[in-house]
Amino acid sequence: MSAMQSSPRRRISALTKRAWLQQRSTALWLALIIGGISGVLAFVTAGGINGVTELSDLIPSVAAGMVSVRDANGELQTITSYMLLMMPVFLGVLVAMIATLTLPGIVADDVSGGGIEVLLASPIPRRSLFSAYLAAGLTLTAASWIVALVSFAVTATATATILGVSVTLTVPFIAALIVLSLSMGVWSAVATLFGALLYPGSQESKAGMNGGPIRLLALAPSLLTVPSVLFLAEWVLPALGGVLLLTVLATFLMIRLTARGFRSTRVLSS
Amino acid sequence: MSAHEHVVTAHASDLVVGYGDTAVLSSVNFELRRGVTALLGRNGGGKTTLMRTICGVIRALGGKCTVLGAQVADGAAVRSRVGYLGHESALASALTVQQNLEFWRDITSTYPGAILAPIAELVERFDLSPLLSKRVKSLSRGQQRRADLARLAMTDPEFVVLDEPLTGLDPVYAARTRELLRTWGETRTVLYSTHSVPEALELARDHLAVTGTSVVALGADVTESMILDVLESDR
Repeated sequence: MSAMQSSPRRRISALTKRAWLQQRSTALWLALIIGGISGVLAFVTAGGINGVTELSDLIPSVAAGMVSVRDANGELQTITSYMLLMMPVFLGVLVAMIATLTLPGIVADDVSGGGIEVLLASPIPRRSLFSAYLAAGLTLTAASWIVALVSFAVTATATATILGVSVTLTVPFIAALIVLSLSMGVWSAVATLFGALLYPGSQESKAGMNGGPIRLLALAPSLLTVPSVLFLAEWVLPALGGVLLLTVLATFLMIRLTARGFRSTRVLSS
Repeated sequence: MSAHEHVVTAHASDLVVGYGDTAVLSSVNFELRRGVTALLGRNGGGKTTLMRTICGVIRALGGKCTVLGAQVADGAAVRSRVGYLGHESALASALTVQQNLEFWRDITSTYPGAILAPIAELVERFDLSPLLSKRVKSLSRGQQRRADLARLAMTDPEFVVLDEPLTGLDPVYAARTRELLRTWGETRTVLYSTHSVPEALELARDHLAVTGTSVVALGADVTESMILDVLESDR
């Protein structure tokens, strides 16, 4: 009984381990580098622009106070605050991009070779097979999200310390940092798996769109989250709740669509 | 033929196979017994579709097919006793042979009632030692096929289905693979597809031919000209 119960976990573990070996940890390195660079860029890109007067009038969103950066004299660094404010969206887009770049690899070899035939001939029920692919994809996405977030936090803290600036974070900003990047990563992972399993031809490099529509589907929502922190600063928590709710609903819908459409005739050529 | 060899291990009645709403073969009737059976047919005739259906890779569009006394439904336990080797390699090209075998060991260990052959035993049996650390994409087709056969043998299946296992092999590997199929055929059912009539006559005891939209059971006492006559009628 215990062996039966642990079978799904062992399948997920096997698929995740294989994807990890195939990509040689590319997903995590990308997340580490991109998260780390983001933490530095948020503080250094402003340069001398922070000194321009009347900036706070030009960029009023910072005045909402979700996050603020001040120099050693207590002066508000408007552009740096603005850059930091945008980081939840920026990280969301990047985690989503990493998912679209790395997740097709989980099923690519199986579909282009004979692995999927052998798996479909096995006693593993089709739904369990799909669940194993999905769980492996989400595991890798969660790992890259954690690495990107931790890497961002470490380099941002280090850069702020070196530059001698103080950062005031609010709960809505931290919530945005977590919710936007995680939800966009999860959505992108599910949408990418949808394309890889239901439209495997879209993953091949050839003349035409080369998976463009699937990637667009995976990435577009992350770009649409910009208003949630930029223009809805006073309503950021409800806006984040809305983003999270929409992502969860859309993700479940996409999982159901993919599970229903995952048929051998989809992934096999006659 | 001994009584042991008379045991019917697979049975198809009025089977219809195909993809979606398109039937490739219809009214397919045959029985398979222990031993080697060759499946012959012209390019695009439906051999692969039939073998995929027998193994449950794709669903039958109609009729009935049983393997080892059970229907090969989605998730059926009988699938643990069936070994399938498709036309393409099931190995991940970017991984080494060792990593691939370990992956398939992890996957097949979740099959109900599976008793797995140790990887070390398979490596020795299929002469894979020199290949273990090599990436699959760097192997020749013959070498890949050996690793694929080791993967298949992992669960020691009673019913083995192989899609053109001898295609593209050099003479040495081809001879070894023929010997392997012959040995397997002594104790289990082996169904394999081929384009070589002389090889099928030499290796198989029974012969099935795909012609038109049906399958003809030619049995054991056939000649090359009889098989070619059947295949040539498929226009």
